[in-house]
Amino acid sequence: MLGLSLDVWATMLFCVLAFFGVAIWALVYTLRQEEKKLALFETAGDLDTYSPRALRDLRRWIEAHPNPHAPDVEEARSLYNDCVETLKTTDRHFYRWSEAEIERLDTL
Amino acid sequence: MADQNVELSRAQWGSRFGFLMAMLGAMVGAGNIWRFPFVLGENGGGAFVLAYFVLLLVLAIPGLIAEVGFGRYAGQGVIGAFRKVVSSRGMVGLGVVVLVVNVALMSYYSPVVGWTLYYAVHSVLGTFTAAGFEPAAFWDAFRASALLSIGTHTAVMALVAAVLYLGIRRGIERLVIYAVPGLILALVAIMIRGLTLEGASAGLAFTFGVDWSKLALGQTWITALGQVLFSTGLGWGIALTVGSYLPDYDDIPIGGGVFTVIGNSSVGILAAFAIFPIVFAFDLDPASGASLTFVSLPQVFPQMAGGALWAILFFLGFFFAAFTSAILITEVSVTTLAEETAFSREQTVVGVCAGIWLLGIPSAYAPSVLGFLDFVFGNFGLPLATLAIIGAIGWAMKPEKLRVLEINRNAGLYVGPLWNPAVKYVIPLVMVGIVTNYALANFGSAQMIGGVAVFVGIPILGYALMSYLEGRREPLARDEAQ
Repeated sequence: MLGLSLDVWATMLFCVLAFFGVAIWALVYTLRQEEKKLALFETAGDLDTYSPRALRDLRRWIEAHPNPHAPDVEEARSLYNDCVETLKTTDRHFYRWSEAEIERLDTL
Repeated sequence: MADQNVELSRAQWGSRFGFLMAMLGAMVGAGNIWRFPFVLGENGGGAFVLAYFVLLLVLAIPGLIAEVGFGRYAGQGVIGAFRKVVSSRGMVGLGVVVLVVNVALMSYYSPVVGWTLYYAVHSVLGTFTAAGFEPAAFWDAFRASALLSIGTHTAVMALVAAVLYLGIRRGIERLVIYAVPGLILALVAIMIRGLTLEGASAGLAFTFGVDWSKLALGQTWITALGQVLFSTGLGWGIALTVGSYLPDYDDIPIGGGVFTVIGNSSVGILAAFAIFPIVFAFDLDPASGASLTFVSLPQVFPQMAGGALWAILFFLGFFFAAFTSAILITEVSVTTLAEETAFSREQTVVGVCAGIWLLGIPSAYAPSVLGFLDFVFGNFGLPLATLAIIGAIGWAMKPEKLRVLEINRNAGLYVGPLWNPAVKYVIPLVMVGIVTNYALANFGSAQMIGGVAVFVGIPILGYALMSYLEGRREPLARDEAQ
């Protein structure tokens, strides 16, 4: 084993970090997020469903849609409004929202 | 109201871990163990790893995020999902394309799973470490026996039916949360044993040595593309089906994308660490594919201390890898047909498994049939299914809509707008390129003609069938509403 060349060791190290490392990180990270969501459900009774960037994208999509009464737009508006209301009525949030950002939000 | 009832009665994964293991179990198959390590070593080792990793990030992760998101958005199987986004009745037939490809795939995959079952059973019986055991003769006798081949294929379809009959949570989830970690633990144990064998370093040098000149060869990139798209099961309808059972509050990009893709590749890398040190330590031919697994490795186990235990670990792990994929491939048809027909889930499980069993008999009986179907559906049918699903997301639904409505909802990772062109242009273009390459490389052969017939014929069949059935369905729906 000690006789292996440097490039073999480098590739093996890359594989361990980029594959095993990332897979284990993703597993632990997503399971912890799940726990956090469940804890928020239990304490706050509701969950903010979009991050600040994702909610901005959603609003932009709704406002840019040519047919404001299309079923998908209605559904999107409902998702947007639910998220805004949850953010305004709960103290603890899943995503990193600042008070100022929440203050600026309004329903559609 | 009827729709609400359907939604309320639809099963969901019982836990996040269950969903993750279902995705991983579906994508990790026999190819991760017998094909990936050799492809890696043969195509430049470290250079191939780099090309492969880049393609995973650019194609596989965005593609699987799209497919899982599409499944959750639709909340239905493949035909229902297409119905939700396409504008014409006939185009719903693209769902039929995915369905037919999955049934065909499972019809010849089931006999292969049967091989792994046969070897797993014999590993437990201690056959491989018994005195006078001849691996080549054992393998030849098994393959020459129609009774054994059809018998193991029958046993596999019966086991698949039994698991699916129990449903999403009690059947599939309960199996994968043990089988997938079991497979990984088995490979880790074999890796530790393999790495401690004398001569193991030659296997590592073959697999992980770097030949940068391979990066300049088109063939290396085509092989990496094929490996990326086929080993992740992108666009086969499996991720769509698994995603359709995902609860609303769950994340898609990390679990359905990053974890599934990197986790699946990690099993291939783990197999390389586990198996190739053994292959080189015992001077076996690394290029021998299926016979490496079924002839060469059984030859090695009796020579290792505690050989019976290593044989059990290897063949049970190998069976789990193949079997969990078989379960999820079959679930694509079960979910879809249970929704599209008046039959209950249980009746559909029995019907689908019986149908696949019947269709699989020629492949179980004759290796030439299996080889032909594998070429035709592997190289033409599966890319066709991928084009249908990714095409529907990219061109009928539009990626931006899926991204803002579904992908970024409750996500653990923000997916930005750069994801849209990857789904709309890059993945479809790559798939068309791969199919064209296969067609040109085999121009004029029976396999190529069969492949083109599948590529053109199944969409026409699906279009015609769904034009007719959807036309009948609309008056029926109107009558029910009145």
